[in-house]
Amino acid sequence: MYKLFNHKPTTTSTPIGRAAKACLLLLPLLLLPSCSRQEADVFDDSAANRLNKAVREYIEVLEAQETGWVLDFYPADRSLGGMAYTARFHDGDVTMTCELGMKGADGKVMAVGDEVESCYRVITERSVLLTFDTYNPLLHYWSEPDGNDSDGFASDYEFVFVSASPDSVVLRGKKYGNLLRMYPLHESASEYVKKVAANKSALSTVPRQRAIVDGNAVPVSILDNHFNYSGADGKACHVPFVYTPNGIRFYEPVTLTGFSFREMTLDEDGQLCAADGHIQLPMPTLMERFTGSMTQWHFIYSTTNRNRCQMCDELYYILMEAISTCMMEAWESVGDMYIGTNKLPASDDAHRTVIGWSTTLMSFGYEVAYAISMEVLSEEENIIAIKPLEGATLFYNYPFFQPIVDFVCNNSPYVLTFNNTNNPTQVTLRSQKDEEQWFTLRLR
Amino acid sequence: MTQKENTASTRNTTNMKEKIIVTLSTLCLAFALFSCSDKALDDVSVFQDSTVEPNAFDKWIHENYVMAYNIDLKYHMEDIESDYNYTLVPAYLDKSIQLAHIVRYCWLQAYDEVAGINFTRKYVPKVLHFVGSPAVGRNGTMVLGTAEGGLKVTLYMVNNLKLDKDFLNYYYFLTMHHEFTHILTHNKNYDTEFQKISEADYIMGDWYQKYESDALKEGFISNYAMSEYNEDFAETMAFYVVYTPDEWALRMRMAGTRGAAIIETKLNYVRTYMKSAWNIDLDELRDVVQRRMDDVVSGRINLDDVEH
Repeated sequence: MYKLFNHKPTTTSTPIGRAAKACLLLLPLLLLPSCSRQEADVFDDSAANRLNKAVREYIEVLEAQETGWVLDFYPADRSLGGMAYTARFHDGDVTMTCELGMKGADGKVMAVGDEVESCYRVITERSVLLTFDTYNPLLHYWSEPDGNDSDGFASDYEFVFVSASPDSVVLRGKKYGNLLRMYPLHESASEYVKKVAANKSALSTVPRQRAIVDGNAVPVSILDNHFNYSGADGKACHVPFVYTPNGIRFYEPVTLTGFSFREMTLDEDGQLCAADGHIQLPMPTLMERFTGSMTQWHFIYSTTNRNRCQMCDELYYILMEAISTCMMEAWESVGDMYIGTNKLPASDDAHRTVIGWSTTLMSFGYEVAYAISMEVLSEEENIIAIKPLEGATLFYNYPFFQPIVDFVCNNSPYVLTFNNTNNPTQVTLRSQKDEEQWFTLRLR
Repeated sequence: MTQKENTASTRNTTNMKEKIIVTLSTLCLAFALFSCSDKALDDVSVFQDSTVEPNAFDKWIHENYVMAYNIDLKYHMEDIESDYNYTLVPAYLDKSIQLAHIVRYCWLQAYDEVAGINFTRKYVPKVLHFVGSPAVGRNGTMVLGTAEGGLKVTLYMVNNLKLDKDFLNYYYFLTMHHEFTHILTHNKNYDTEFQKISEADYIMGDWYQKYESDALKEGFISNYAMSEYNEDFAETMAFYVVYTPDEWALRMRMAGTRGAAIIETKLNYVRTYMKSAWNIDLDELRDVVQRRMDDVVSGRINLDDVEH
């Protein structure tokens, strides 16, 4: 102990001691700038106070809209497009409706327009959030695990405020990032979503196939809540949208041949219009409705009665041969054959326009398809072309259906005769090359 | 000047310099410390109460959980309270109300009845968190309930709540009695001889690879009990309390002579521990839990009333 004490003074003159002295001398220099009182505050109030103030203001905006808000909600990665919701905020509760019928976690079924109440809160984390924090089957359907799928549709129910005013509220999903836009609702919530559902049904079953931009036709399409068109650089654009009572509203602005717009509305003639009338998406013609059908047109046949088969002899024999081979080789009966939209959803098979077959083995059903394209050649003469593309769902397992594809495509183009020009339910396709080759299709 | 004198003189000069440096530095520090204190404190707290008026359920929770047991029952989904590894959704309000009643009646008040409310207040976990969905892992496994350090219990699948004894025990009460046992044994340890009964048979993280029937035959009340002796102790206690005597006897028959003998030996340690450490008769606790569960599933308890 003594020895240690006795040596202490001499250690200050070692290199380490000199370094310590230098540090001590520099210390005041480091401390002096920290005492500057001239630093101006960036904000007039503390972060905590500003957050608390924002919470009060946002609640006020949400609840001030007494009839509620329209919500353009985009679940998942937006590949499903948007869904129309309404929400009325009152005293910590929120009453919602949705354009879709839903089934809750407890099995309870809700029809379109049914109101469901749950809780909401505006809270602060790193920002100010709107959270739907008790279960609302209409909204949380998109967020809950589905069986063994741990993320389900992977959608948000907590949203960060981006902006809020009496005219609109913009929020961003906290976890997945989709924007949620809210607009004031000026009618009954239930009526609003019912109108949306009706408009969706009308527009989606007869999809628009072309836009008229200042008189010039531009190919576009509306499919699965997406507006598809070619951008300025020729790149294919697919913009998701949500249906409104009288049109559609896009997730982000669409720029088509120089015109930019966020919304399209139906006019008296049933045209979807935008950009102050510069752009119209007209009602599809009869021929367009057939080639762009969102449903199936079914072949009419019977394996036991030739008289009930509405097709030429050649196709009849080809079809009977295919059905027989299918039974012998695959032990499956052919319950349906159709032309039109693939019965399987796009998530299961991206080929949308097909010649399709529905087969059954015991109680198991299978969908088989061959992708084709259908194009209108003459509106005036009702002529279309059908071209083969490639085997689609399971087709490689059913080569005996190939002769049917060959017959249909080799006899193209066809002249179409509808049973009703306003609301057709049956159409006969007669080959322009050989009038003896024909078949009739019908809607179910 | 001799070398010795020279050294002494240098040392004196060095000491003087050090004193000056230390004094100056201390002054600078003092100046620095006091120079930044001219701002007055804001008289408004940054922690503000919720601006939303509490609903009837909030008031019921305040009275029956917060004031009665100092438990914070969180039925509003708070992701900050939840496990980020899972995609979860909130609980239905009406299901939360029912489960809050059930937990209070079948769990909290059961311990009140056999050990007094002060015992329950002191040892029960302080946060209950209700989650609507199951916690489904990436591999498809499902978490039934979780407890964190004796402080918080999270109950999942509230949206699928059924007034069915097997459902309630499997998804909620086995977990809750199990975790509560851990809290008790953390406060007063049990006889370490218990650890030696199946000393060679604990398999740690591989417990889930064991069938329940095999675990029973090896002297464990469940496959999870095989993970280690503390879990074994908690599982033995939890299963005994939630099972009727007939259900327990059936489980003993499934365990076979050897397995049942081992489990009964473990149960005696649990029984002795509960009596000596907490003055709780395990059979009385089991009977109270059974009676209260019967009251709930038979509809004798109003599970929807939050006004009283």
